[in-house]
Amino acid sequence: MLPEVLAVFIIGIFVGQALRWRKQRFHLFTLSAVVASALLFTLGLSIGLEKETLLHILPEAAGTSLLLGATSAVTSALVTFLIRGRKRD
Amino acid sequence: MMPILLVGSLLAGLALSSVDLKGLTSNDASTAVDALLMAFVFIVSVDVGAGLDKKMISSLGKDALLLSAGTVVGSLLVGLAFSLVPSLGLKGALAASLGMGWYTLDGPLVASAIGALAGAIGFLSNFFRELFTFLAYPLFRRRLGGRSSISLGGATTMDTTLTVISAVGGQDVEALSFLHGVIITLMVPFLVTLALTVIP
Repeated sequence: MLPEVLAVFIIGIFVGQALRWRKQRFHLFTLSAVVASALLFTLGLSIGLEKETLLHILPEAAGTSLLLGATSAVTSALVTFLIRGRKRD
Repeated sequence: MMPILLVGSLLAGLALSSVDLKGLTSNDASTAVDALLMAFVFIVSVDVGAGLDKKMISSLGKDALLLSAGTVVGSLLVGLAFSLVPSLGLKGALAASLGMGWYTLDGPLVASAIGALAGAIGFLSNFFRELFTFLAYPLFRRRLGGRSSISLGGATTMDTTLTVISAVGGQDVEALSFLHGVIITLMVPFLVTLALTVIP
């Protein structure tokens, strides 16, 4: 599954560049939003169908995720600040 | 608007799973997730590929690369730290942290490779990162400057969080934020796949 995802991603980048080179204008925002919604709906269904696992893990998953998300954001900003020589621009 | 729609879709799926769906198993749903993931990745990559502009890259390239390096290193360090959480392990923690805000990709990808628990953490942690950026960017901008603070948002700085970054940081940081988001978006599929395949 993972190599296929990467292959599709790389093909898509080249298709996008080719379309840009041919000066074809398009807007994929709506299509992307629709497919992303369908994807997350199905993911919700997939997670929900494993109810026993879900009930067992959800409290821990929520706490860990909140901490992981916020810490990743803050650490990234701090590392960038240091890499850029503490410039406050 | 967009994050509400996406989270609403996830919740609707969770709600529907509590209804008795005759014959539908989590395997069927996983197959559908895989197919939709492919379609989603293709659409996003075409969009990103079409947005790559040589002029923008040459003028902001160096700063955008420094920002992206900071974002990746920061996320990597946090992933390593969270590998101590027993339910995650090194593989799950890195796969979640290296999603760098791209929850629509990271959640399904991790769920498909490891399982529902890791997938839920992958989705939620990256979703929280986006929410956190909306709230924290104005504060961090005052402390660390508008440019370094872009790293908070990871891959989301080219779309959803670009709104708050451009509103608070101004036009100065807008193009840099977009380019940083594009670079991170290009890296996330490779880094998450690497974490999921190389780590046992």
